[in-house]
Amino acid sequence: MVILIAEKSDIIRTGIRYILHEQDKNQIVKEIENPDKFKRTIEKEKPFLVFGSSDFLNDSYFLGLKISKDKIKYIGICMGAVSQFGANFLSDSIQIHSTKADIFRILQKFSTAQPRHDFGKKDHELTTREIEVVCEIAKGLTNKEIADKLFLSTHTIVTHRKNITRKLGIKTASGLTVYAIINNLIEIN
Amino acid sequence: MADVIHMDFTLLPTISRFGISLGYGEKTVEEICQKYSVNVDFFLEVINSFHDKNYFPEKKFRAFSLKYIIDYLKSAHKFYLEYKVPKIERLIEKLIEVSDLEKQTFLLLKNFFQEYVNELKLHVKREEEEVYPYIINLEKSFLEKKITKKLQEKLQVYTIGQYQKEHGNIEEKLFDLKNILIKYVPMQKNNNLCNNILSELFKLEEDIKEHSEMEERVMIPQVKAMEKALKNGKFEVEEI
Repeated sequence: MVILIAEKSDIIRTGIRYILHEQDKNQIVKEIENPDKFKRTIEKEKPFLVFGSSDFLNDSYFLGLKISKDKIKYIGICMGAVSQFGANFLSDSIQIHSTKADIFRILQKFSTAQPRHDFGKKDHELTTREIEVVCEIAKGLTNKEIADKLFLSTHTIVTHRKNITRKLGIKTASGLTVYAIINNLIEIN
Repeated sequence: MADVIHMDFTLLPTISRFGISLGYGEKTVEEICQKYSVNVDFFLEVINSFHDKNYFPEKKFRAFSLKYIIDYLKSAHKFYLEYKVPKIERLIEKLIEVSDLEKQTFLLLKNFFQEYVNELKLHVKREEEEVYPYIINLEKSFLEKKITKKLQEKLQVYTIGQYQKEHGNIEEKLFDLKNILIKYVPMQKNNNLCNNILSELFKLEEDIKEHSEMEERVMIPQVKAMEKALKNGKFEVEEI
């Protein structure tokens, strides 16, 4: 999950990044200093949290926004009054003299809303379909035969195989057979 | 020479691959190489590339005769098949012997490793019986600037490019075996034995990687250059 810092001043950007990394050194932090490229960067990086000055977070930005405001939380970096911002759109704000604790508090408040890491996701477990495919590979069927048996296209089987290899770290058919037997997916005959 | 081992003992198998045995005495690297009739420059480049994984001086290697390189590759084959593979086989046997519940699993692993070994043997056989003799022949022609009719005909139908296409891919099984051991073998009491097997597999893989690099980055480009020269050059044709 990306945090974006949109700010013209090098010193402020670097400072915020430093504090964010103090909280979590693995946090991915992107920076942008040119307001003209702001919209494109948002679309590309899809941050969940944006720290930005009024050069970026102004009415003209928010009013032309396509991505729903709920998905991204905007935190204003204030030099003076909050009113320079598209203020209604901000979720929170920090001042130029805010303390580390203020920033930590903001992180805490918004990161619980959305998990910061994908660690929790069981991205490496096989889906039911993939398990079916593993079993057929283990029985020695070719991609074409598996496709016919499961009423899928050969192309889909190839995609499943790629995902299986990525998840398990096993490339060869005989390797997958060993995997299937160890995990009791098929019986030895 | 003794200092080399003190600095990096993992070089031992590489050094013995040159036919050099322990008991170096006070001799320097150069003296030892002379004693065993090993080209000292080649020896140094090889052990340096093993010592530092990021160091691979392909330009320097290409300056050596292919004969040196092939001799070296052959002795590496010998090391894999006569020493490394049997060692891993013995460890897997041992694992089967001491386990009770997971016997079936380890038998599977044994078969799987055997499949890999068969592929490796086939690969080695093909290189030693076909590819290397072809290269030696090619280099001889190139150096003597004479080409036999037979070789000339062969060049029309065979080039090293074909070998290059088929090369590779045998490492996939080794990779799988490692992952099965790391991730999927059921928990059991023989951890040390499993660790031992794994570290042997990693070492073998690393060594073979070095070996393939030598083939792909040094031997094949050099052979290609010679093939090109022999095809285009006006060498004397011998009627044999």
